[in-house]
Amino acid sequence: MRILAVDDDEMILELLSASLGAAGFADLTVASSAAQALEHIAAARIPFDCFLLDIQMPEVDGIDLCRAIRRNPIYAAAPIVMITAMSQKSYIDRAFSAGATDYVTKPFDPVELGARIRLAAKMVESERALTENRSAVATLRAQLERERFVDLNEPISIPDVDAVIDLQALENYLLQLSRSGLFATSIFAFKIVGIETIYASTSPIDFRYLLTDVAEAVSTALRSHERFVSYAGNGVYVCVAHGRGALDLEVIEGTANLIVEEMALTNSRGVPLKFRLRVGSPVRVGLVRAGRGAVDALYVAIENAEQDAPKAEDGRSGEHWSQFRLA
Amino acid sequence: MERDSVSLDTRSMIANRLSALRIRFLDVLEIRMTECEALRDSLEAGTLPEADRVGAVRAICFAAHKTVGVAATLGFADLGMLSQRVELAATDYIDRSEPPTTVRMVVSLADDMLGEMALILAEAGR
Repeated sequence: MRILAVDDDEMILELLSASLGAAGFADLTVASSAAQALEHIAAARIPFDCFLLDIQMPEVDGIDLCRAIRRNPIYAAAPIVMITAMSQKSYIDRAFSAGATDYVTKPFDPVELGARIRLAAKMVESERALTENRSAVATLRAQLERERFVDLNEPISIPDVDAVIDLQALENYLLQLSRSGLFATSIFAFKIVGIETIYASTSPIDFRYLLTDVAEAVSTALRSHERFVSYAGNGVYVCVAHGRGALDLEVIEGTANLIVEEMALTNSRGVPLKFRLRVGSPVRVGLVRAGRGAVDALYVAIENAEQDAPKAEDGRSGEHWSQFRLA
Repeated sequence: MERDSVSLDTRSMIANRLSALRIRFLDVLEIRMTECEALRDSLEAGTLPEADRVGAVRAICFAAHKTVGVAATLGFADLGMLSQRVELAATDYIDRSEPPTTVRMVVSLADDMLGEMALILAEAGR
């Protein structure tokens, strides 16, 4: 696996080299600035598979560099692991918003770092298996992706929607949040009612479009909060929102449904797709639930949404959502 | 069992590589300690104009930040922790956070960090 590590501290680059070499990742290129990293990327005849980026660097910081790397279609799905001494939540939020897939704080445990990079390597392998040929032109890849069979339970990636990240990335995000970072955090999930019927009656491409549109509606309904949304499969969207005071989930649910209604979704044959979203009971993460506990809460929220939503439309599809219009 | 033995191999390989880096870190630490002592003395003298005082705190913050990143990984956890305190206090001073952090507080924490640096270097026979 070809790795590019970027840090302005030479000692850190040597530590990374030692740690990754011992973990079996010897193909490491290092850069001491964002500018030098971009030169390496531009000059690479074989693309890099994974990036390790320091956040705090002079001139261009690691978050802007992450964003720049993501803009390159070759690296749209490449693992980007942020490495920084700063564990404040705002940096974590910004890093994940910019497209980071994982986060390690300095000082790091070399063994743990090796494990994280092995996880990244698995992501690279599955991505390779998916696309089969990395050198295929972007349009062909997009076409393949659109036409690929989608399993109903698969937590597929939904790209290019604000604050929507992969489920794995959301797990990593929660694992890295400190106890104080989890304070005033709410975790809850939406479910598309009657998803099985919709899935059975739509083509894979229509189903993907539908999931993307709903992701946009959910993210927009939460736009007044710091939030991340992930699609968890089976028509469920799990949301992590920060903010003091209780979230008014009834309003958020109504707003998301209003947005979906106003989208007037149809399949590719022009047949209207009518459904509604139901929000499940929230999980309010207390001070004691940092780390694995926060990830467990994610799955409790998913389960709540599965259990709370009716299996099919229950006659409430005629509800009016206009009172929930966003200002 | 096989997994454990792989992990032990990896750990011993990492330990070997880190021991070489530790020597280089001590070289860097000697220089950093001298620089930080000079900055600390200039702050304690209290004669620096405002801009220079902020510049000196910023330089100590930068040195502490660099130390935080590697010290614990190389086996100097206490130095890492003390450096982090300096970095946080210096950042608060520079950002004028509330409640206010004074130069005296930054100097006091820098003293703790410098004391640990001196101890590490003495134990290494330097």
